Amino acid sequence: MNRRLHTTWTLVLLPLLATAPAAAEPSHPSAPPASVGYYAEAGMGATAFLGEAAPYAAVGPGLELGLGRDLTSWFSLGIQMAASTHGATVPPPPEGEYFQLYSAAANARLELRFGRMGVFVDGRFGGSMMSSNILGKVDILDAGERFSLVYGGGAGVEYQTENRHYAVGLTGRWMSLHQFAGIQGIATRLYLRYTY
Amino acid sequence: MSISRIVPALCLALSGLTAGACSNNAPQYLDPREALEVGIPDTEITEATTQVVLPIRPETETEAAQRALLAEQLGVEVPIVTVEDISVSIEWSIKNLSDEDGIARIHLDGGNENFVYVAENFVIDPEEDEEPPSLAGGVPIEVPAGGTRGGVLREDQIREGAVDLELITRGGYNPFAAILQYNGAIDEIELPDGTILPEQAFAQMIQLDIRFVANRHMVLEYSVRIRDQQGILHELLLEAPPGELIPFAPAEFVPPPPPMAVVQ
Repeated sequence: MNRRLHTTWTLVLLPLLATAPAAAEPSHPSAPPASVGYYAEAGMGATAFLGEAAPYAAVGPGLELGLGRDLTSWFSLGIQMAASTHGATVPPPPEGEYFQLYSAAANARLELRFGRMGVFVDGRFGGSMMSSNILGKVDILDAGERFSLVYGGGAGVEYQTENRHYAVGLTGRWMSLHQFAGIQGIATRLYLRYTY
Repeated sequence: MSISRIVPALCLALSGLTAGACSNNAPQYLDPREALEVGIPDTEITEATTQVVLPIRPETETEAAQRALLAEQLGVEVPIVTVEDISVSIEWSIKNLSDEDGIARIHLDGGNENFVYVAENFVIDPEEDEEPPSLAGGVPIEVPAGGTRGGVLREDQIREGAVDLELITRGGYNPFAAILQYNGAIDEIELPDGTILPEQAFAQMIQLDIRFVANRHMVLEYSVRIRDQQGILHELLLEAPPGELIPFAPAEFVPPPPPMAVVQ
């Protein structure tokens, strides 16, 4: 009885074992290596202020453009330019007014890839400008103040498409505007990246 | 997507961001941090006034030369601050502190760099002559008990006030005729001597005299919003040292006396 059972299992398992290597072969080719080189990036999302500035500036849409170069497959340097617009919610008057925040910063990024997916952290340092002095009403801006140093960092995930030059990603960043009473903000961006 | 399409698109987007950041059309706000309060209980105060003088920086030599050249071309005096240099609006908020509905008025008078408009100066016989209206505002505003009303004296209203001031002072117009007619679209004024004053030489109001009148206990807060197209405002605005501003000294406009009637 045991010998018959053993023979039966052998007859069932052997074919399976014989075909297992064939089943393990991928039906699709592995993810192509991501392109490494000069890149251009465009993203859009939202920017919000934290802390002291939060009651006086509403969340607003933002646009970001970046240019840079991948020095290696895991490290890149570049320049990011961003603009966002916010409703000013200062005590009236004035009321229903808007202001814009522009920034340009040098950016450094470290990335780890897992096939098509990648995770990264980045840091930035540069300058920013506010379009108007409306936040001077609540002493966030001093008289004549329009420019500030900006620094911050963030993290995100990236997905490389079938085309090795394109990737899409989602990132979140924290920033601090030193001269503007040290106010802080966070920005989220959905972006498309093209690497030559 | 080829490189030939990406690069121009990025350049266009970058130029748009840069243009937006560099634009002189972004407004600046003068916040005097004061409130006008009237109708305080146990007082007879029904009106309050304040004055805001725009902080204009001195001209550069180039700007002065350009203005002199324009004056020569037009054949008229060109002011330092014209209606095309800055656009002014006043945002206001009135709070009724009483428990009864009330009516308030905000009157805007003032002056340009040459003349100040004072309505009382046009009243020869107080028993017969009516005081002319203000250059802007003066509309009754209903404010409910305990409520707040907000509004704006718009850029076009203040611009028209500046044009009316030119009509009254340099143009010799009757203030009722100047103020009660719509003059926002005129682009030239014929002066009494036949000279044509073109739009490029219309002086803008640089002194804002705000008078707040109400029949209840009310508080007016306001903010002056300026779009400085030519960059003539001092960067420190109301905190600029007086020595770094143009010391305008406009004269109070006194109309010429009416011609004497000839009795035969």
